[in-house]
Amino acid sequence: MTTSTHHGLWSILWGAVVAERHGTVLALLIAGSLLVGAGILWMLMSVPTRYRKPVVMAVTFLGGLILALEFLAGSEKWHPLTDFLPTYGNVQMVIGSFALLLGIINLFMIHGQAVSKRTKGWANSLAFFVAFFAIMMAGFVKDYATAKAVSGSADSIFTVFFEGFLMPLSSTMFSMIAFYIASAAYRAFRIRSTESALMMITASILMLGLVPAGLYLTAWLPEPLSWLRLENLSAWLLVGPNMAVQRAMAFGIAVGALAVGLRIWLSLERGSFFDRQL
Amino acid sequence: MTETMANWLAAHSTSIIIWCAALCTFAIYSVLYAENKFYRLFEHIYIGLAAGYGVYVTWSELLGPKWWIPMVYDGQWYWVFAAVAGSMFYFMYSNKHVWISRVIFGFFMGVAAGGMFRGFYEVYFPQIGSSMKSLAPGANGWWDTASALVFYVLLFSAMTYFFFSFEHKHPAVAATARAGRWFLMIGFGAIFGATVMGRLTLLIGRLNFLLNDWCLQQVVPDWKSIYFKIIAALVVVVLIALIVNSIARPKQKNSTSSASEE
Amino acid sequence: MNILIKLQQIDRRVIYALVVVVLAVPLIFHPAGHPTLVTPEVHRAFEVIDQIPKDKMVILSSAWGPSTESENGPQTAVLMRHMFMKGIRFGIVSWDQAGSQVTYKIGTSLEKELHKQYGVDWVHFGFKLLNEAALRGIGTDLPTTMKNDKLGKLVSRLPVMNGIKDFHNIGAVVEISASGTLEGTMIYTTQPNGLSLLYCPTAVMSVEAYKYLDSGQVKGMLNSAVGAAQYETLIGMSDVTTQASITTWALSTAHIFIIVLILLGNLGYIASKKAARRQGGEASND
Repeated sequence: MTTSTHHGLWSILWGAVVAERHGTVLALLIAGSLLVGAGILWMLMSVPTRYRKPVVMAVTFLGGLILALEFLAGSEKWHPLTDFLPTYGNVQMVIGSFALLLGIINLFMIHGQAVSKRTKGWANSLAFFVAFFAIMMAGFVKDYATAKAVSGSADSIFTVFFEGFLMPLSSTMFSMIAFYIASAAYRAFRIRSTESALMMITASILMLGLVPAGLYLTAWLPEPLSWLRLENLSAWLLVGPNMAVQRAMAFGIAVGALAVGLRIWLSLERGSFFDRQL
Repeated sequence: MTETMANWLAAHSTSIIIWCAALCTFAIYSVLYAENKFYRLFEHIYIGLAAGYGVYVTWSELLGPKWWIPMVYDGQWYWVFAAVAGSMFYFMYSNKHVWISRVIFGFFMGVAAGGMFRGFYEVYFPQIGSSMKSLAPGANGWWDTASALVFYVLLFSAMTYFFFSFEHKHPAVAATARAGRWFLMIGFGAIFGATVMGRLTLLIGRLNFLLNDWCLQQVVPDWKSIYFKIIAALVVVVLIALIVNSIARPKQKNSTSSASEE
Repeated sequence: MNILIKLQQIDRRVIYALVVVVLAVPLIFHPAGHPTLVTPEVHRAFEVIDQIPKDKMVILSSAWGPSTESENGPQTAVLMRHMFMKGIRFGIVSWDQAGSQVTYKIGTSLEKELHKQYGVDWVHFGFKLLNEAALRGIGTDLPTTMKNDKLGKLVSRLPVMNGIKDFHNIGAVVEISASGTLEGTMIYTTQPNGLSLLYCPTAVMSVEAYKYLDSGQVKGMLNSAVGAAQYETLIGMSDVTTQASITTWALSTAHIFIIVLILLGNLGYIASKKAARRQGGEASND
């Protein structure tokens, strides 16, 4: 067989495998694939202990190989891996989405135990379940209900749950930090050294330079001294010294990040997670 | 009846949302006074809503259109294997076969690590390049030279501080590292100032909602109303009384308040 | 001196109440319109968007949720408004679950106000799981990477995506983020394809971005709600009161208050140390 016939045969075979199917054939293919998948999982469960770490190492390496090769090997004219990346990204998104229930299962175990054993605060755990199912059901009913009135009601209820509860609860939780910052500024921030004084002066110039108060506080300064105006000082601090310092910190982190990345990719990393017996 | 309910909800949803949002805001802020059941209840409601919403949106915007519909309706049967791979996550709950979950976690960690070559090149090579600043006078004359010199001094002294490969014994190195520590404080001061600004912005957003959306639209007609003036006056009086009380009475050593201390 | 020491005993809840009062005053009584200061990085961001050709699309890469809505919300809104006004097509992808709904709501309300049409003038790609390959895919094959929009429709069938395939058809990428996603977008989407990158961070993240502004890897930046207010000034909204402008006015009093708190706290600390030393001196003399 010639090379072109060889390639043609592979593409016909590949085309036959990935061709879209419908009806009974589709159902059979899905069922068959599930059996094959179950078989793969059963094989993995039977892998002897001494081969487990090499399997994990091999999968970790192969997972990173595509992105590494896509960067290191390829040119403007020949880039098959770059063309493959959108599909690869979609596959990763789908597989990664299946991890969604991991956290949910944990939450259900904790709160389910609280409700079933009627421990202290079990009513809160019950509220957790009510809220969980309420917003989930409202969302699914609004998307899948056929009756317009039902989906319309569900849409309004979902909007109330999202905009009336989820959004404000989320925003408010985060905004509480502002109170703690104010309290810490008064009770904990002590200028005990020249370094902390420098830090405080920089912070003050920045805070005032970015808001109208700073503009008005130093607007009276004449033109020759305009560089002392808070907005100009603040801009210079950010673009000059701050930028240099941030870059120095980034250079320090860069090499370390590269080393850690290499260690993870080649499964050389140590630690409680990586050293655990498989 | 469903249609009546749907119409009523659609007509009143704005008011309902604003009142619910105000209730949630006050419930969460109540913990600032003291730990209480109201706060705990809404905290659990928040977790439930976030988890339930996460399930819904992951299905409706990811798994549904990218996995289920192509597999079942578009005939792309091979997507089943994505579910097989995804099921490996749940071996985390098996004592005997927990290692299988490490395979899929390892895959994702490997993908992230594999991108580091491109990451290092794309992020840091331009950074190194733009650090080579010219000392020649530019559009702003000698000010450009001075700026470049200041940049080099700050960059090298801050980098020296982070250089741990050898001890900073030599006086020149020690002095440079010490100066670097000083200059790092400028960066930390900038971060602190920006953090204060960011966190206060979040609080301003909530207070803006409480005052201009809830209070102004649902409670008082406008800021000139007598109700608002009475409430404002009461708030000022209470605040002054609290401050005077705090100053006049020494603070109790063993406070009964259970809200977390900073 | 005594009063400074006594002020150290103020209950923290009184400080919380003072914070609320100090912020409430400018929120109720604030000047109409915007402050006049516009920083260079906001100017540059405005110029990038303003000069985008009509045949190209802008990608808004949104990695924020309701927790940072006060900072990232105004940024998203002002950019969308500018692009609607200029007739520039844009697509927004959300890497945050709840952020998907929030950004969609911002888009639909602006669409109504400015008489634009979903699917023709803009598209929301919905929530996608952030991964390196998808970020790379945005620049190499956008329709395949995104595949469907928030409403479940295939994006390749939407009029807004006509002629949009890869980085040749993308004018700029805007990263609106509450976490460290800038580097990912830079590494996989913009740098390999020579695309302009704009950054809209929360204030906490903004300080670290100046090194990228200096190197040109980031072309412009909107720093938190303050940056959004400055951008609003540039698009002709200087006389309109918005959430961003109110925030900027309120931040003025807030920052002065924080600085006063720090000064008072330190003065009280110095006073109490002096008093303790004096008492110690008197005790040793007895």
